[in-house]
Amino acid sequence: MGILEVKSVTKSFGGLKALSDVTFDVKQGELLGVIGPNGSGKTTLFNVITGYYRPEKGSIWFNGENIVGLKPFQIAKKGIARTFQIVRPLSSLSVFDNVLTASLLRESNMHRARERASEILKYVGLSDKREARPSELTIADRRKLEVARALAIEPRLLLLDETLAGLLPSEIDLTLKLIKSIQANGITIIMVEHVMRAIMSACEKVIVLDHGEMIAMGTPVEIARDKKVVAAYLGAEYQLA
Amino acid sequence: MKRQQLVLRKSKRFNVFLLVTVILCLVPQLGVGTYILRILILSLVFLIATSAWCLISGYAGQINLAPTMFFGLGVYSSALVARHLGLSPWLGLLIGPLLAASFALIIGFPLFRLHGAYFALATLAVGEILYYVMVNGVWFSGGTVGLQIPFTPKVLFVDFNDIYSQYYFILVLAFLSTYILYRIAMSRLGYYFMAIRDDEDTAMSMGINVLKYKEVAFCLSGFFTGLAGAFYSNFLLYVEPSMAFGITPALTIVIMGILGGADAILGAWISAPLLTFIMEGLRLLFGAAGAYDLFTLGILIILIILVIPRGLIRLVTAAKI
Repeated sequence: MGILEVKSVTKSFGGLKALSDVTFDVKQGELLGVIGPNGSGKTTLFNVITGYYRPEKGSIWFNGENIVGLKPFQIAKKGIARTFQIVRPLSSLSVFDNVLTASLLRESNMHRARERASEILKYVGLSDKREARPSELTIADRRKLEVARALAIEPRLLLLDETLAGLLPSEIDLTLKLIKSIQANGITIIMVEHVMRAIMSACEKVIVLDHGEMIAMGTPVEIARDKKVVAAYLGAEYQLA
Repeated sequence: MKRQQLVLRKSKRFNVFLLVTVILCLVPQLGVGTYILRILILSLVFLIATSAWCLISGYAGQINLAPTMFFGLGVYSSALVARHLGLSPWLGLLIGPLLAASFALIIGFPLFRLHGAYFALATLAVGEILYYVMVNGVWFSGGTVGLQIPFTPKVLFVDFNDIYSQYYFILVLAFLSTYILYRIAMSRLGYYFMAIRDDEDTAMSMGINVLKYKEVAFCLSGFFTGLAGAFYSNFLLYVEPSMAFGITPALTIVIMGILGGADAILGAWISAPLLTFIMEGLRLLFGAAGAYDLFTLGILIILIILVIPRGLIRLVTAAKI
């Protein structure tokens, strides 16, 4: 039994099926990659798991409990944290206060919550920017802030939505290190990503979405060889490379 | 380093608050007349309402254009308790805040289905509805003529024949109210309110029940605004719809809030006395009939938003003292 089980989840917007009959599961401590072309339903999948959208059909089991119908804040309390693809910091608060606010979910004592927020900022490497406004940060640092805020609610499952997009190669390596270290701390991770290099090196298992359907699931190597995946997403050049 | 500066800035704000309180404590000893004291009493009433407005509108980001919906309930509860139940109008100080907070809780459910400007417009509508309830409910509210409040000379240790006694009473009330609101704003609640103001989706992802905390902010704001209103009518000894639910007290509170700094509870300690004296001075100069005070209020809104959008308190605390 996995920590998260998604069973035949369907979500449509008007006539468009953003997710159709998607089924997969994630095991405790696993790092699952989600890939697929733009508009294939990756972010919708995250929004459905975290309660921002309610699926028409299907069930989502977290720790053996069906979480469909719960509100986003209830799901966060249960231990699922997320980052947003387009970063959404609390823009008028400092970097430190962003993380502090999230820490207050598990630690209502202000003093201890401050200590916790400091630890997390140190962990993701934002200590020296703690008093900066989110708008003053580089793209890479804004992504780190998203991760820091998600970690501050002490999740058991972390959903990362394109945390590596738009980063320089050197920044990608650093952030990947961070993600692996989070996994090593026992937090299960699902990451939506376009950076194939990252997916290939980091994930144990990958699922591929196309037009809302899950067209493949397997190890990164299996996925890279899958004809349907190559046709829908990777392109012929990828196989050559 | 920056952290120290921030703490320093916050403690500076608190020093401003203490300084103004000390000055206000000393004012009666300077031999100023009853007239000045009356103006100061009125400014302290609005100071409480303004601090409470800052909590819901400055911190939680839900712009309430009619804080008078709470203020007016406080104003009328003193009068209604006295006229219809034959009790001391000073019971209004207890009933007013509770009534206003309960009203906030109930009206919050439909209001918080709206966001941004739509929420703000709806608050204005609620204020207007309450205004016309009082105008038309002649049998209980006295309509536009209003109600007189019987004078109670002494309640507990406060002697209401004595303006000094009244003055210190409202000063203590204002000090305690803003101190409590300030502590709330610095606590976990304050951070949750700001998270909701900045981004509701992000707030939810942090496990924050957005509707619940909006309601909490609204109720707290209602409670203290109702308290201010209940004292107001006990001081003036009469009530009528426009002083309670009218547009002038509503705008006064909103502008004092923005002038002091909407996201700084203690800003009201600068803006409320200042604005009260400015408006009173204009009324003296031009008379109340021309509504020059309101004219000035309008100009002030534009100037504040253009020149010091984040409020006077930041000008004061940014100065190198």
